[in-house]
Amino acid sequence: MASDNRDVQLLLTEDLSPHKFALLFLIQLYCHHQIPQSKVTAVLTVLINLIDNKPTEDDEEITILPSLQDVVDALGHVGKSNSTEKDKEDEDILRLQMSILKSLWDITSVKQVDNDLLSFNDILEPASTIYTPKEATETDKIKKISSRSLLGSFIYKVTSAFHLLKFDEIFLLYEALVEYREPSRQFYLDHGGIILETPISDSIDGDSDTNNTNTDSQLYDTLNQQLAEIMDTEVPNTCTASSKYFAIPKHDLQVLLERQIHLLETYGTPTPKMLKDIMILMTSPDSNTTSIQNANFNNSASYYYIRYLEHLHACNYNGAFESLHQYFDYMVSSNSKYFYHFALISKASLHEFFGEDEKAIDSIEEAISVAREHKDNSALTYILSWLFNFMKNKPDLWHKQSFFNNNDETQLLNFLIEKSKSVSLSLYSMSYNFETLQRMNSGSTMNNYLESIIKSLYISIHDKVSTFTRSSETMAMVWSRIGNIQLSNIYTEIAIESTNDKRTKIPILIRLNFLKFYKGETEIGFKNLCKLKQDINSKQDYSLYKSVHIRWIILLIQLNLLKGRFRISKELVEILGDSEIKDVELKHELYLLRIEVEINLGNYATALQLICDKLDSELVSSNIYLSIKLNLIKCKVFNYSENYSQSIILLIQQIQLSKKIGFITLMAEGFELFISTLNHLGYYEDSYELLHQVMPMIISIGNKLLVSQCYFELAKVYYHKNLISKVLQFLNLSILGFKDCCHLIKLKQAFEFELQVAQAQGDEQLLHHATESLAKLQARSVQENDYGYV
Amino acid sequence: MRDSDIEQIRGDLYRSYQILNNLNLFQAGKWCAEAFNGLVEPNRSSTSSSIPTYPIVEKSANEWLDEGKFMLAKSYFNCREFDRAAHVLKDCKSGNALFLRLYSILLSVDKSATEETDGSINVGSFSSDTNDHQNANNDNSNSDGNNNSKELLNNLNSRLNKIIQESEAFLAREENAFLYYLNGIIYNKKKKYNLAQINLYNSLRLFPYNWSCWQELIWSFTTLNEALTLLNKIKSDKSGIVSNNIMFQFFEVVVLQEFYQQSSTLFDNLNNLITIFPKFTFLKIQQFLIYYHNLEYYQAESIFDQILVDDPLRLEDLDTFSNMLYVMEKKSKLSFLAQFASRIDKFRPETCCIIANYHSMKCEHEKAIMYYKRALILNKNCLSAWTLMGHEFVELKNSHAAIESYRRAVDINSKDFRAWYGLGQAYEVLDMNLYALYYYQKATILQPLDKRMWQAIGNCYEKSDKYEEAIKSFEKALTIDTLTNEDTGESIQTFDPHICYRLALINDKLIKTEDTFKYMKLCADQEFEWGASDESSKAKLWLARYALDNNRPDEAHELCKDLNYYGPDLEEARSIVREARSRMSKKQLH
Repeated sequence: MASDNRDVQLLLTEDLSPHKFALLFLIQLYCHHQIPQSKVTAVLTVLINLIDNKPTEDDEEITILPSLQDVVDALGHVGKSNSTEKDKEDEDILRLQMSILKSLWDITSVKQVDNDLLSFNDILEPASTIYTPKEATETDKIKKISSRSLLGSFIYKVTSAFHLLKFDEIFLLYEALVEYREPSRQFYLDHGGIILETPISDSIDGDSDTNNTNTDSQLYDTLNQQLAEIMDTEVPNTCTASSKYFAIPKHDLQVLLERQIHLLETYGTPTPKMLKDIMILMTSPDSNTTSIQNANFNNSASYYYIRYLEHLHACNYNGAFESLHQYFDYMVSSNSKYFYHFALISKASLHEFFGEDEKAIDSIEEAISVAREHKDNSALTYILSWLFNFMKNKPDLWHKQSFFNNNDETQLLNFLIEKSKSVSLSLYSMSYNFETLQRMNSGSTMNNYLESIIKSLYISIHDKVSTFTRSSETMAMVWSRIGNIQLSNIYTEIAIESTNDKRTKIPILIRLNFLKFYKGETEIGFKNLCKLKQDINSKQDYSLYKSVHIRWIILLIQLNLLKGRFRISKELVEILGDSEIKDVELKHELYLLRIEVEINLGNYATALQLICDKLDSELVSSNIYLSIKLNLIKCKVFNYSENYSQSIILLIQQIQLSKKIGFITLMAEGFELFISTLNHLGYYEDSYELLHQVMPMIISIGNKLLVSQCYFELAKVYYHKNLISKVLQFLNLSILGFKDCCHLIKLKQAFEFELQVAQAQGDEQLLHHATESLAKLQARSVQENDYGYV
Repeated sequence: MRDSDIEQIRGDLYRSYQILNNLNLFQAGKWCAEAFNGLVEPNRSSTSSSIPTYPIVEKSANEWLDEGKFMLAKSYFNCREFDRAAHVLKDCKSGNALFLRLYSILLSVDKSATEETDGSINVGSFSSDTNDHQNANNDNSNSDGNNNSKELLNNLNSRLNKIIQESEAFLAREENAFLYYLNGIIYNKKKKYNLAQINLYNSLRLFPYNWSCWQELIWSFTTLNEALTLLNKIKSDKSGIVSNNIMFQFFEVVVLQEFYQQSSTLFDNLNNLITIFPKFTFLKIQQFLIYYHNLEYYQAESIFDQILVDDPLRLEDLDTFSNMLYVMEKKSKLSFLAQFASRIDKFRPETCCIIANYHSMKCEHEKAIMYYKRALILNKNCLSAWTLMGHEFVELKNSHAAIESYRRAVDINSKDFRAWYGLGQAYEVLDMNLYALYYYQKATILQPLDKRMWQAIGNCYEKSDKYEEAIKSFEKALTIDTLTNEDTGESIQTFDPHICYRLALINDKLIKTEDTFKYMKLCADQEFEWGASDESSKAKLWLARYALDNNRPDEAHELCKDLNYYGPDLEEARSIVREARSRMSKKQLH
């Protein structure tokens, strides 16, 4: 920024800057039909983007204070096309660029700025005009713009702001204009522009008075010289400004800051250096700032918020803490009534981010008491929602808090539902979402949690779409646990269709493909996720990319497990273990995966240890789903280690529990394990009976792997009943299923069973098929292994 | 003047500066120091030593006794802790210490008056009559606040009275120039000008080098006669203590200049002073003001240009210069000056006035008013700001606000004829002709040789159907015009055709045909000198019609044949020409 020795001064303005003048000139060219007809749309798009301060596409950083060169470049991009008349188009665009530059370089006095701005009013249609009869298409006729239109209101805003400027402010702005156009000097001269260097006397008012004699200009020179000698300052002229002025419209800067906050909060995009420099200049007490239009930047507090977010991303606890406090102090001075709770929640979030849960609770306690003191109902509800969201994943914290007598979330939840009713539908619906999850996790009956989610959905219909999407998502999750795949799919589709927001949509899509993968459409699910990952630009949206990436790795581990590449799975699990995952569900997922990998590697003791550790922790007591899932895996381990009797009791318990709560999916998994245990123990008759009863239910769930496994068990049962045709029928079904799921381990088991059957029956053809398939499988697994290790 | 006299003045100025500065009379001190530096260079070779020697200021016994306290009080005073300074000096014996004490109290009173009221009311001026005026200006709903400020002002006034009592008690025992000066200031504030003049004169008798005191004396004059009486009185004083002092010459120059008296005494005195003080800007400013008041703008401009070059950071009087540039319509110079002053100090009343003038010239009257207001916040006694703000309000057709502004201006300085004239104009716009007449008369007393004043008076009389008085006023205006032309040495007598036409019209209304004819003729005759104007053509038409009525068609034809008329006049001219021709042809036929 400070490329030369002159002082850099920031010129804070409310809504004015030389850049806006450049845009006005562009509008003027448009109205005078000087934009090539073929390019009008493109130029207007550029113009609107510039007016709205939208970042230019090709830049990775946002342009903070667009220079004249930026405007010229933006117009230059318009010219890029592959059409046959390229040369002519380029020429047209260059002419346009030069016209803009000429308008600005021809300004040699404050008076001229004044006149130019007055002339813009001619473009404006008087506000009272309702209908303008269309003139014949005379191209020389000036296009008029309604002051109610976008361009019109822009012209109106800038010109009227200019006319309200105080005397010295006009001159400051003029100096900023001189500074603003300076970088384009070379471009302008190179393309044949002519710059008039005017003496001071003319630049002052541009009004060569008839009685403006030589003596006057001599006087000006003498006085200016003396002023320079004594006070080191000069009356400005066109050639050089005494200091470098950067005009910063407050409004634009505020927009930029907000945008940067949004970017940082959601994507972690680094703050552009320019913005940083400006903010540093503005916030440092000894900086050189001048302001016009009484602009003052107590809103520069936002900058501290940016600093806070940056520190968070850099995991700089002290920096973040300090910046956050700085932010509050400046915000409080701007007298925001509802600010205190936000301050405390931000502080709590900071603590949460750095894992200081107790401090977070302290902060939130204070927020609650402050909100209560102010009798601020809505703030209180908001804080409590935050608290619930925070606490629902950390049940152990209930023992450490002191503001609720009860040591669980029920009371808080009841309170939330009670309060949020009067605050906002969105929070009210969310409270019921919370209740659904809480009921589901604490082992309530299906009626109970369905009641909650239906309430939530009903409320959300009357609120914003985003609320509805969230409720639909929860609904889909509930139905998927219950095992009603169709309903789950419907709600997922509803959720996807109801939102256009990328950040809401993508997690739903991830979930959808995840479910596809587990349902047996392994390849499709994985491929879709890969595609999703490619679609998201990691540079633009890092946090979203990261979340997709983690899911992708999890699926990759699953896929490797299915294909028997256990070592590589383990390595991937370890990699994931290093990265910070904050989503609790995802954490559980990964933990289960870790156990799965250990089991597959044959480390049963380690796996059991992991399971027991988790089951002993506080968390599981409040998450029935996880506990059942863990217990089922435990049974699996028991089965692998041929400890069947221990497994049977546990399995029966889990099946009963799942049935009570309505987790049909888990119940089906339990039955599958139970049947396999029965088969191992040789109770084929019982398992036959059981299979006959549960098969319709399992098939209805639609999990291909589960169904294939059951068919495989059924084939085994029929084998012992000596019904060979039935054996072959179901074995065939199971093999097809395993193939679809790419489950090479199970496939191998199935072919081994086929071999066993063929040998017992002495069926040559079958024998041949089994051996050949096994050999193929062997070759593929070697290949996969090689591939895996490369 | 002999060298020894000049050396005497040099020594006196030096001594005076020391004394004034010691008493924290900074403005007067500044004036002395400037005058000291503006003196002709001493002829070093003629004096014995090359190192100049300056007189030492002696102190009385009492002064030495008070010295410690005095020192402390001065420090507090310089830190703007006026009450504290006064308190420190409460048991002091010397006159100077008492002065500093009472002066501190005066400043403190002024300060609290500014802080507690809106800053626009001058304490002291709150006598019974202005009280009524204030009440009349204020809303009834505001009476509570009014009572409060009344109470406050009463309180402050009683503090002022105490100052006078105390100082007079001391003066009864012992004379002190500065206590007299202080009394003069307070009496001036209380608008008791006679008492003020006596005190100020006494002060100057004892200590003539206090320019602020002279200035205060000038402010105490409401009319030229008053000033001339005092001047003569001082001159006739046989002791000549005051009249023989060089300071008296300064006084005379400024008095004559402020009352627009372009007499030979003025120029003699001024030239004499300039030979003694060739580098004294103050004198150059007087020169500038004389030219300016005499409407000799180009000479005035060149003088001020030189002042600017010599002392570029001097902002005093720059606002007056900008007023002149405004009148001269030198927009770019005014703009430069505005920027220039703004670079030096944005928050000086002078700068604000210049910028306001600049905006006014660009017809941005609201902005101009804003800057005048800013000037007034910076200096509530900034007279020209009030007057000029009044002009801006007139431009904005806000007569009521204009009247208030002008009123404030005349309350501060009743010698400002522009403000009186403005008041008259504002009331004339409101069709309150008798009111307007009163104010125009006030202005005319101050500026008897300005024909605009007499015209305005004539206008008002005419509107209120007092035609005889109107005729007298317009005739007076006409004679002034002639007189000024004689002054510039031009032998041709010119008469403003506008005034002539007005006179003719009034006489017409009174059916004084002879007089009407006289003035119509006079008006029409001015075409050679002033060029054709609306009035002259109308006069010619009237003369033509008159000639026709008196059966002189050739004359009527002669007057109208150019057909140099517009609109209905043209029609009338045509019909006159037609009629004249027909009558002429009839005559020929006969």
